Amino acid sequence: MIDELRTGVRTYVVEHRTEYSYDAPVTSSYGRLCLVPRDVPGQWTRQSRLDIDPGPDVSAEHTDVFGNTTTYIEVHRPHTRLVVAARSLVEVTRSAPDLTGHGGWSWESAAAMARREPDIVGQWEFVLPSRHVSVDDEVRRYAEQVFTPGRIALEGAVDLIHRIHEDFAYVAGVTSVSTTMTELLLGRQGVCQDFAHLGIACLRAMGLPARYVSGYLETVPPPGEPRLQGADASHAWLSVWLPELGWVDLDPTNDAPPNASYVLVGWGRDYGDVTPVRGVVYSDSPGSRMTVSVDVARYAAGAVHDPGTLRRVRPPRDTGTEH
Amino acid sequence: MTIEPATDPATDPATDPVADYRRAVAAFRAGRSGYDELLDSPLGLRVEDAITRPGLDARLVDAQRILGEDGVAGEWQLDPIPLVLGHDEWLELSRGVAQRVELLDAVLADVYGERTLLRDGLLPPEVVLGDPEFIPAAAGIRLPGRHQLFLAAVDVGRDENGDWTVIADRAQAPAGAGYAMANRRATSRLLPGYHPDGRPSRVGGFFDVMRSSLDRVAPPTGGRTPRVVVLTAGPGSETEFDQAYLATLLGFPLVTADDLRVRGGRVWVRDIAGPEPVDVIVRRVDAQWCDPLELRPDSLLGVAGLVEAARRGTVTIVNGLGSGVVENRALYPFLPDICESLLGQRLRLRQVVADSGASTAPVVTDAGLVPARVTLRTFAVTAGSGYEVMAGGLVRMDSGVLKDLWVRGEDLVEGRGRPLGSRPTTALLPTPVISARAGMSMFWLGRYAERAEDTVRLLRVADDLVEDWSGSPGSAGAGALLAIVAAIPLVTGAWPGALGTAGDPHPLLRAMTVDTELAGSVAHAVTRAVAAAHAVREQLSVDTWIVLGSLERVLVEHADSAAAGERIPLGLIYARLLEGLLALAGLKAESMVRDHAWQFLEIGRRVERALQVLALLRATLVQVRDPGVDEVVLEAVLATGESIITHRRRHPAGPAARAHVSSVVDLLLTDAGNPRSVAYSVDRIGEAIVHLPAAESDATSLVDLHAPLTARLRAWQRSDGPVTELDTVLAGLHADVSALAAALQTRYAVAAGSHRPLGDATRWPR
Repeated sequence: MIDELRTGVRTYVVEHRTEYSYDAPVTSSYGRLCLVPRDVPGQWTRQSRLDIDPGPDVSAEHTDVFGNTTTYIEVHRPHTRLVVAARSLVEVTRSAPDLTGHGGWSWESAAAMARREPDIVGQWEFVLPSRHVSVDDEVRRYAEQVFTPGRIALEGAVDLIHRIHEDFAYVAGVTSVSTTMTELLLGRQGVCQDFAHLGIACLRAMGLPARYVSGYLETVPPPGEPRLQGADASHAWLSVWLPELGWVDLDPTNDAPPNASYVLVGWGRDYGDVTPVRGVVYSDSPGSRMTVSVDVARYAAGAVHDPGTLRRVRPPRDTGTEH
Repeated sequence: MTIEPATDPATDPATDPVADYRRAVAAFRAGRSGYDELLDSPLGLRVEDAITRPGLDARLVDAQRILGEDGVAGEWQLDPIPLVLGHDEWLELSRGVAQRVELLDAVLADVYGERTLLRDGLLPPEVVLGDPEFIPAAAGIRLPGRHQLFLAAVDVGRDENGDWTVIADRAQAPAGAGYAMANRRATSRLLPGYHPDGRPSRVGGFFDVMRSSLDRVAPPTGGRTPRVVVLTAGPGSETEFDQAYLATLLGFPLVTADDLRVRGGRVWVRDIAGPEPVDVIVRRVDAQWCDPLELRPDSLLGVAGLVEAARRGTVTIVNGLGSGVVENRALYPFLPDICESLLGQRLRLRQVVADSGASTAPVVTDAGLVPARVTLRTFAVTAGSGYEVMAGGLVRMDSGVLKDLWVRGEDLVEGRGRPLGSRPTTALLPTPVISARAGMSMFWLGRYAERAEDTVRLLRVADDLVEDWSGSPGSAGAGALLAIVAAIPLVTGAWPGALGTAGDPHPLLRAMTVDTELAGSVAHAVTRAVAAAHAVREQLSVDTWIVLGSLERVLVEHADSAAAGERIPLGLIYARLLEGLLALAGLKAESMVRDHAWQFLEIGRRVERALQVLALLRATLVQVRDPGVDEVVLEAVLATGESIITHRRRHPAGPAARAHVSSVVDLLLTDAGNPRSVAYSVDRIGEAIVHLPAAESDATSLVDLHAPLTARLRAWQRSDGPVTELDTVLAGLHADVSALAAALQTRYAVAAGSHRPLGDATRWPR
């Protein structure tokens, strides 16, 4: 904490552990992991390592079309348990964004501007519907409550995440990857992935580029700050492109722009592009269980910068959620 | 296939098909103008005139028969009259096609690369990025060489003015090149020597170019000849024949996802000898289904890690993943400007959104020549610096039938000056790939073909006994008939239910012959043999399909009468079936290289024959009967085992001339010189299995399983024990041969375990 006050830098140890266990031996596992926090202004990954058990036959990094670091793994010895543990040492200097220079663009002119911006046209997938972000009439109606004709685009976006925060209850377990926008709008319950997808759908419905951001939150907040929703798991928020401001991150789950308590991993059109762990197994075993735990803790200043021998300011909490 | 016309059309204007067609076209046009490929093209008229004279109906039947001989009966209909294009017209069209494919290639490369077309406003981003065939995971994967679009098909049709226009592009995994070649084979047999304006340009050269290009796009192999496979969704795919025919033409194996695995970031095919690296995959599975790890997770047609292998450049996939994005017709309005911008050329071919062209051509029907609209599918494959356009194509009529395309002018494709003998050859692979799956399909093809043959022989003997003895109840022959009929279910494993106990054996024999639903019947075995053959289509010769087709036809011809409970001419049917089945055996013996595929077929044949003979002997020799009845039964067994003449020759006179159990056993069990004996089959199995490569994990050696068989047979040769002992020996041998077959099955079974998503992929990661 002292260190942070002196330098303005927070250093986190991010641990994301996923364990699969099977009823019968699996002969081969293949995985595509998106677990290494990417470097962006306000955030730098000093070190990161992946521990795969059993040891993988192949583990290779790749930078995907969106610039995220992903890892491809193959495990070929028979196993009944597979553990993917990612640990990263991340320096964060992110502060609340300065949004004063928004230029007063209405959402209509912002959308028209996006269409004329070659760099944005080159990433137009962020304006088009995607697998988890469908743009139908119900989404459009929800969005139009916020984006009234002529409204300033930034104001609309901030109001949009506020409205989602007010209208929807954070309840884990009622939604899944296959929950549709219609079901979500009807049920008014969900988790951060759902809220991010809905916000993105509304922005795209108005012609504004919006992308899905995957990341984490500090598990235990600094003294005096409230504990943020979604801190025990992978977190998700959105980013909207606006003229003059560029990409602006907003978190509908906590009704605020991300601050120094956030660690960003990557972005894409939706969850499908930045799924933390996806994989395929060759097996006759019908049953499997998955356990995920995420911990984001402050790193003790001056310690050896090897994530394998990290010491923490406070002992890790068991924050595992079992399914 | 000389067919005499009933009347001479030259002197009988009422039957002039061209005059009739002229009237039909006029009616079809209903007063509007139009272009007809027969009436408005001097080339067309000269061809049709000659073709139509000998009788239209016969040509139609011939066309289907010839296709049937290629094993494609029922998959499509070929109209006997080709579409004919002149040299100049074709040159203009093929230049347009080559330019278009060059253009689509440039768009494809840009979409998965720099996206300059989007940034520069030449192409609206939603047209490509919003296409379901756009695959972000494919970004950055590049095919070695100049082109990203390996093979393309461009569908063209004439507009109202008779000019060729584009109506569709195919870039995902273009189908039809195999059909085009098959159609050419058929029309050249259908119209032999009929070339009034010189031969049509060959289409076969196109596949030579494709082979060379497949070699060229392979990743570096360090001097090793690249291994190429054709990836199919499997038997039952919509364009199964086209895929298999293409594989055959190219000389590369057809594989399914089950035959492939990614290990160490590269693709391996599960050859029977173990994994072999794969360098190039000709993809006939739609891209989204190719890799459950990075594309559709619910796909069972894909190989986990395939995208990663392509990304690493250890394998080249053609057409590349995501190439379907340039099929989108929404691209049309933007292509002229993109063509100017990227190629610096005017777009040669107009484009229109339509289902077919506007011109008509005649289709031969039972009612004479009928006009239908024409669409022509052209093909272009990368040839290094440019694209090679097939000097032919696939003509699709909107009535559903296909036509061949004849392009006039010898020197279009071949004429790029490739002299005879300079055909680009790919050096033979040291070990041709036969996947374990293909090996087992050959094994089962052998087993079912042999089962069909042995069953026909048994049924034929039973039918002969019916002919000879059913009128003499109480005779020794009638007793033998009962014994043989009772043996049928025991030998074949068929469960004919009430049929087996009825007084009249005909319904049983009939069902055992043509009922495809009855497991153990001839029809059942033939159906299974055909299915096994389909799974290894690219391994089999065209002749094999001619024989299999004729077998199916014999059975189908009588299926209706059989279903109606009518008597069918069994003797005649058996004679025709045997003819076909012997031809199949002859093909195996005389027309196949003794490679691994042959060894699987051989083992299947011999295993089945040994099991059939053992079952026959058990079902007939170990019962106690009246000696008079027994004599006829034993003769029937010898006849079934194709050994009665040998027996007579060896036992010419006296009491020994009568068949005894011991003399039958000598001939059919232990005589290693009799190809119908168990001993002979066991020896052949022994010879074949030593050629099979050792498996990755050889838990049970096939050779070890084979050894006791020979020992058992030798032991029996030394004894002349009682009938109960014979039964024990026969049962033991039967169990041993079955165990050997089961061990083979286990060893070459497709790797255990299907793939599925890791964990519960539907849950949020929390």
